[in-house]
Amino acid sequence: MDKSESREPRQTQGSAGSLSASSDGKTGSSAEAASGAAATTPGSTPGSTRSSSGRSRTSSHDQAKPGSPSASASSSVSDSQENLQAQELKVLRDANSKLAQPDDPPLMPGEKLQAIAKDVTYLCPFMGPVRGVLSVTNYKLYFKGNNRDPPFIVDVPLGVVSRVEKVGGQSSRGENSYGLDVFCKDMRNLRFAHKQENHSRRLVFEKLQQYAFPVNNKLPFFAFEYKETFSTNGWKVYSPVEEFKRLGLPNDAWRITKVNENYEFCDTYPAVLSVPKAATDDDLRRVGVFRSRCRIPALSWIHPESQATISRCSQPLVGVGGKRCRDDEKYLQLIMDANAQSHKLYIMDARPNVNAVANKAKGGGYESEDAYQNVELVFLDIHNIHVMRESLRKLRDMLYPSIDDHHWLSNLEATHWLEHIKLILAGAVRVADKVESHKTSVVVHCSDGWDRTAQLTALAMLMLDPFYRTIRGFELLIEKEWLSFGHKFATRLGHGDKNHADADRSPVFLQFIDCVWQISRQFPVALEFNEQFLITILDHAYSCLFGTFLCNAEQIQDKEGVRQNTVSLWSYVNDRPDEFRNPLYAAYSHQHVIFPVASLRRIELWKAYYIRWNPRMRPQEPLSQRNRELLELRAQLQKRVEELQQEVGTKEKSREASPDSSPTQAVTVSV
Amino acid sequence: MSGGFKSYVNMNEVEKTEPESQKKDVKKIANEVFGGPMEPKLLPGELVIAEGHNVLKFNSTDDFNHGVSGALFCTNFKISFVTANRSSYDLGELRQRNQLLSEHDIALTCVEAVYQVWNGKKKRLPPGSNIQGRVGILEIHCKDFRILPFSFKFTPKEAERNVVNAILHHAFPTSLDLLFAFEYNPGKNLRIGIADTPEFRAVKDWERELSRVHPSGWRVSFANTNFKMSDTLPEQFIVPSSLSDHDLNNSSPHFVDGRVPLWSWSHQNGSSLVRMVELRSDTTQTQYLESMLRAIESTHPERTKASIIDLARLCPSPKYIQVAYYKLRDLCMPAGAEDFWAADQKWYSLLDGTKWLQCVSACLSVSSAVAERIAGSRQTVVLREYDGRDLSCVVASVVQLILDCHTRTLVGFQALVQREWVVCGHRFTDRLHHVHAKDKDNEESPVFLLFLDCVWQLLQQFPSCFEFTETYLTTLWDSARVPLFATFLFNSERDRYVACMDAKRDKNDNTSPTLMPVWDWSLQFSDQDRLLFNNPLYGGKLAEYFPEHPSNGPTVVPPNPTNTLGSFKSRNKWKSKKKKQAGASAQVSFATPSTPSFNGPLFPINIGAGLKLWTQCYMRWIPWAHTVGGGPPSEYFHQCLLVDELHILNMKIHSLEMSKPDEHNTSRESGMFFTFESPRGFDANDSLTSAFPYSPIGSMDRKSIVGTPLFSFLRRMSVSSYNGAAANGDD
Repeated sequence: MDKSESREPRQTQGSAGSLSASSDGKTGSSAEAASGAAATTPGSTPGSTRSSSGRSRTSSHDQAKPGSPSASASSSVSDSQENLQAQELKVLRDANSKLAQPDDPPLMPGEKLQAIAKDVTYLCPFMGPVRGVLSVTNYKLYFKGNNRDPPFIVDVPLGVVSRVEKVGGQSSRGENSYGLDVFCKDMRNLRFAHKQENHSRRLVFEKLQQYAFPVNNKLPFFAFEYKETFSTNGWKVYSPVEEFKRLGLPNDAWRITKVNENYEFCDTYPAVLSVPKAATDDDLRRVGVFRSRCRIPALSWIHPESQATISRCSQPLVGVGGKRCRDDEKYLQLIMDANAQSHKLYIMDARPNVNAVANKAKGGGYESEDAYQNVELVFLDIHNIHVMRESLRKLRDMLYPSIDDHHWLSNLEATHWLEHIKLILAGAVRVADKVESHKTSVVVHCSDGWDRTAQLTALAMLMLDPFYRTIRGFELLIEKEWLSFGHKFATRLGHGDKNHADADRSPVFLQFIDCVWQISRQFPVALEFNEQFLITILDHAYSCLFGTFLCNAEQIQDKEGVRQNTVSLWSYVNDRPDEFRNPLYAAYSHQHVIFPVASLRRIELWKAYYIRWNPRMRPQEPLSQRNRELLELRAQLQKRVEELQQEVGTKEKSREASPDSSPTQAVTVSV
Repeated sequence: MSGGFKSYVNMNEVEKTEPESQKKDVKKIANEVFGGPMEPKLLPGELVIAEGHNVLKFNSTDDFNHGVSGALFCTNFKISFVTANRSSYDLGELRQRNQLLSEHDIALTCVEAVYQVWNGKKKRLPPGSNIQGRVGILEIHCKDFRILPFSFKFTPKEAERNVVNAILHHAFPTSLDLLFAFEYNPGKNLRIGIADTPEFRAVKDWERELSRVHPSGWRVSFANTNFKMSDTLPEQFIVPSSLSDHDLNNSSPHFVDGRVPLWSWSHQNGSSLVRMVELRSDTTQTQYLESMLRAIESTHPERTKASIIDLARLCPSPKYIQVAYYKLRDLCMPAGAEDFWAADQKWYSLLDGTKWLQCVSACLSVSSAVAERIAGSRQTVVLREYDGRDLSCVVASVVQLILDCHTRTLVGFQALVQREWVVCGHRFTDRLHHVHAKDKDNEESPVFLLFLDCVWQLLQQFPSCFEFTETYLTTLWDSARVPLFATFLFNSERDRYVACMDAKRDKNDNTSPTLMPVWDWSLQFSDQDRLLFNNPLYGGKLAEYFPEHPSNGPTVVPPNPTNTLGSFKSRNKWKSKKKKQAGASAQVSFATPSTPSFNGPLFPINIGAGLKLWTQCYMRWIPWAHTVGGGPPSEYFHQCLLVDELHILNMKIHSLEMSKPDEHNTSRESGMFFTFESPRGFDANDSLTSAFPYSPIGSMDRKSIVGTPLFSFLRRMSVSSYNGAAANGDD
């Protein structure tokens, strides 16, 4: 397939697009209908774009199916969805009769139309140019093709946009040579061609600059404007104290400290921490001096039987001089002593050895085994955020807009993306193995302890504790290991900031979700959630629709009043759990540890995420859909059995009432 | 759960005969040492050629440190390792067990190469050679990618030499009649039950096929009766009705091997699929080709011109496939853990370097494009290949799998293989390298495996469209190298006939050898194990239960744009090294209508990025590549349970709806390997590995693996086999 699909030379890199079409509706199984109906917040789907065309030859190619990314959060799929949209449009029109036009985008509560441009051409790399109307709201970019039935739609939340560039000037000649390029953070780029004489480009460009980059324009994120209400409150998913209670804490060896209650001890750590009981708050403060940004070793997870623990922290401030800190040494000894089963402690340094050494020059470093008794230090060889960013860039170049199929596997290897995934998984397996098989406690850190450390602890916990493999548990895991321990989502994803070349951006969280997907491939019935759940989380990490991934730390979240003034992604998710449920999830059969194989032979590219905009790569018969259908059939049959049993019961009663009736039931029935 | 000897006791079908060659005293010693009989299970007609005792069998996973002690036999059928050691295969219930070959047996035809390992160095022992001194460690490399190491450290020198030399001689026969199929003598007891699968050796099979597909303008020809026209065609085949046998006889000498064009299949729109060979290089009579084409075109309702597809230009050659296969084999047979992890780093480029998936991609692309022409453009397609016996078989079969849902049933698939491969003269003898003649080039080329891989890719992409599972495909490939079955032994129908006649003449009693087709699976597998062939998701099966359900088939999204006609031009990379793919179909076409059911056409994604490696078939014996408690088998397990539950519910509904329960509809059998109520039910999932129903590790204590990572589990495993060996007099 390849290059043939894009008519323009590859170098332009410009146009792009995603298709996922609403189907003609008829084939919609009830699963589809469900997902469609669930999408009652049209547009709440970052990155979903819909296109459809009943009779046209392009039609069914881009069918959105549950399990296909476009169905994420809400690509409208079914008739019912169309109706819902229609209804909402009507409401909008009534509310604002001046503006409302059939080409207007559906708006969510709090969303406002900012710019609209007619006669724009979307240069779709898969289907060729599409004429239509482009509009910009304070949340999304929305393009609707002219006269297509069902309509061709591209719908991109502005949070996904990384930069917008003008292409061509007034003097540009040639068709589609004048317009806008929109570069996105979710593996696609879009190009819209404007007509010079319409003078429509300026306004669109201005509004995109304004609302895609609120940080530079002193505007609030859309999450603060979004006024949708949900029946569940996702902010209540995670309560640190309750989670500690679930883990049996506090206990004889571990206590819960409020040393960081006001984020004064460590402004990137959570307010509630669990630490060895024998360590006083003063001890913690002294340890904090020796740990980068005061990120002291704190408990993440404790094994219910062996009491072996996973703790996390930042690097010790050893420096070139090889500084030591008795308090830090004693503190790690306390972590070891808290686990009576083992007289050893593993420190898993996520970095490659050379990087850890290089950090000494900057005042950081790693624990020397001479200073820390009974400690074994292991380097896990996971590279830094810059290497990962570059790897993803290569992967994207290879996949979009057209797939470079020539030497596909070798090219894939050359991106090193899967190798990085393997190293992260392998590291997490090592952590989990030490805890589970060797009953030994593990302390994990990297440099600051908020990127690779979060990947490792969260993945190890997912392998060890079946609770984190449920939908609720996984939400909690993200809240705990990623959000509360200060993974810098705003910085790493570059929320609302036009500085697209910022060196602090990196796909660390994407890698984590990719690893979870790899685990779900290796253990298809061990996770309660499906692929769609993971894609939805990623989409909304970028979309800035929900407050969940908006900030760099709990402290900032607190200061900005995010919990009070925005909706949690988990509110949205927990309102429609069926959409995100793995139909074959078998809780009973995975009540213990799962160990994925960290071999590239078992690690594959997550096509449903990375190549989702390419309609040709969609599975034509997704297995998850088949599985879901089996469950639906079962439900139907169970219902039928119940009905029949009731009928029989009634019949028997009536027969008892009239003992003289005919001898065979058949006759009885015919009577 | 039963112990290690279950497989031997379990041989219910084949009668047991005592080998005369069994030496009494050896048995006695064996009984003394091991407290049990040490003899291989022999089939009727099978003879022990050599045997060695106190042989150690290693797990290929633990670097020759620990072994299981037993006796190694070489018979005229197999190499058999018999151990008194309980193989501690606690979960043996979960494994597919071959009734002809037990866990430690290898059919002689499955032996790829024999190596001597001496001081850490590997040396290949040439077939037919005689070793004089000690071997030390013998490594048998199998064609199913297994590696079996044996040590003769404690074996008497003479016995060691006898066994090794017997293997070197008998595993590499120099002519076909030395294969066990000609010795096997089941007597009259044997009932072959393959009535379902037509063999296309009788005219009724062809007629039935014609009436099923219903092409107009085609007839069965008897022109090749007694193979008088062509040595490689079947005795009957299907040709345009407008051609008389006289026409065929006149044309035949101008075609390679005398093979006139053959009908394969017809679409209901009247377009057909035809296989044709090249004209002989020494002929100038191109009018014969023209008249054949005209006759073929006359069968089309619109008399449109047939399109000729040159497979040599579009598909990899058998030689190319051979090289790709050898590279793939090397990649899938790591010498040990170190080797495995060293290759892991470069896995994707190594896999790319084999070019195996490119071969699969090419065959799928060509087949899709042909199917598109037949179904979409309503054109008759003529596949042209030099002798029409390799890639023609692949493409003709895959096109039918794409377009004809009957071929996606078990019986339909077997009939397809029989029709397009066996009777049409695919050279199984040469391509599977059954015979190691010194004066002959190695023409080995697993074209058939390439075909099975294509089918597997289709099965991956359309999981509910096939009645069978990947385990069936893997089993079929394994069976191609069990020399008991004649299906995949010969180069042509005539070779088969001649071999039969020769064997009959050589035998004193003038009886024909019992040449059995592979299709009677009950010879190899129990009723229970054959359930592993049933695909729980198969739409056809679910449709029987729930005819009214709208989704009892996939919503097949129409074909890939790469299936468009333009793709042919751009794909001549097999000829010219220079790759020119950029020109592939500039215009995207989405022409073919979608068919919302399991019986509609399937158009696969056939670019490299859409294909996967067939892990079950190629990596099943590599322990480090497998997850415990996971992989596709755990999904299969739960699908089985679900379908079984659906079956139970359906039964309930039937009995509730009927005044009297209908006996026919209330069979408890749901056809699933795992059932809702069976004892191997719920806890099984945890101990399934992703290699199920194969065991990558062989004998071991599998209880200890639950909940531990595979590497520590392997560590523990080698300890347990060590203990086992020690307990059994590992002196």
